[in-house]
Amino acid sequence: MGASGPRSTAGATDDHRTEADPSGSTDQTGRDAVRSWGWHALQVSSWLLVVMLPIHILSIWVLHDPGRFGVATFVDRWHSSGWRLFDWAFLMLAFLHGGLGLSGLLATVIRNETARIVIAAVLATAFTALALLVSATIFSFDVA
Amino acid sequence: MSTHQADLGEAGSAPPRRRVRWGAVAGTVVLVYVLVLSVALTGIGDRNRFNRWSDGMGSIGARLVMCGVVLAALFHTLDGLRRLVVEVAPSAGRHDLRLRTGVLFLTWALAIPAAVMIVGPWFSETF
Repeated sequence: MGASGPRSTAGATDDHRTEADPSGSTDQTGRDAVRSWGWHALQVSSWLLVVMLPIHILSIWVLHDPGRFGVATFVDRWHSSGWRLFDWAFLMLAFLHGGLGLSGLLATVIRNETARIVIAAVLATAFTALALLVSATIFSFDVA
Repeated sequence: MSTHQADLGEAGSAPPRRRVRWGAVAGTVVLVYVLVLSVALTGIGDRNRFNRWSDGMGSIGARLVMCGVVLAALFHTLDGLRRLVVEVAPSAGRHDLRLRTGVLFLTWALAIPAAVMIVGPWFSETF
């Protein structure tokens, strides 16, 4: 989860780390330098989630009464493979975006490099395990 | 006085006040929602247990929590869109105050009707 891609080649230091770009890939004058892969992943997932998050929230919680939420919600929904794929893609992108965002947020708070790496590794492992479990559940769920 | 100084307070006056990053707070709320939903979904194979768990979603407390999640999701989406627009077109940064005001206005303009739609059925059923 730690956005540990290629670092800036233009003199980036720890002082330039931000929540959006934990690698701190801006130079001393604030100009754009080489961005980390994490920054690019965060940007791409942002553009996709800007559309997907409102659709998810609207279709599950706003247009349908939350009081009727249950297995039937997903049985109806996952009869269509399009919705099944949408829900899977939404959750995977949310894990990626949330993991990178949280990792970046922690990088701005935790100054100790070792602690930051350990926390990023734990987060990455936990999120990957949960993502695999959810993927298996979504694609193996029997709607009959 | 710059915004930064206003946030941190002047030297020698009141103690510096930490800025609350509402975008990050909203993002954390949405991430917690995604994690809870994912953990719940992993147990959907046991249909009775999932339905017992989801029965609680009809309560007023759960509906109010969902209103909070919707508010956080809307704010995080619109604030994120503002950041993306400024990233793509840096000239839009000159209208930062307007953009921030627009984000707040749209967040509440969409969140209030959504909250009515989420909590409304509970009132119809209860009264």
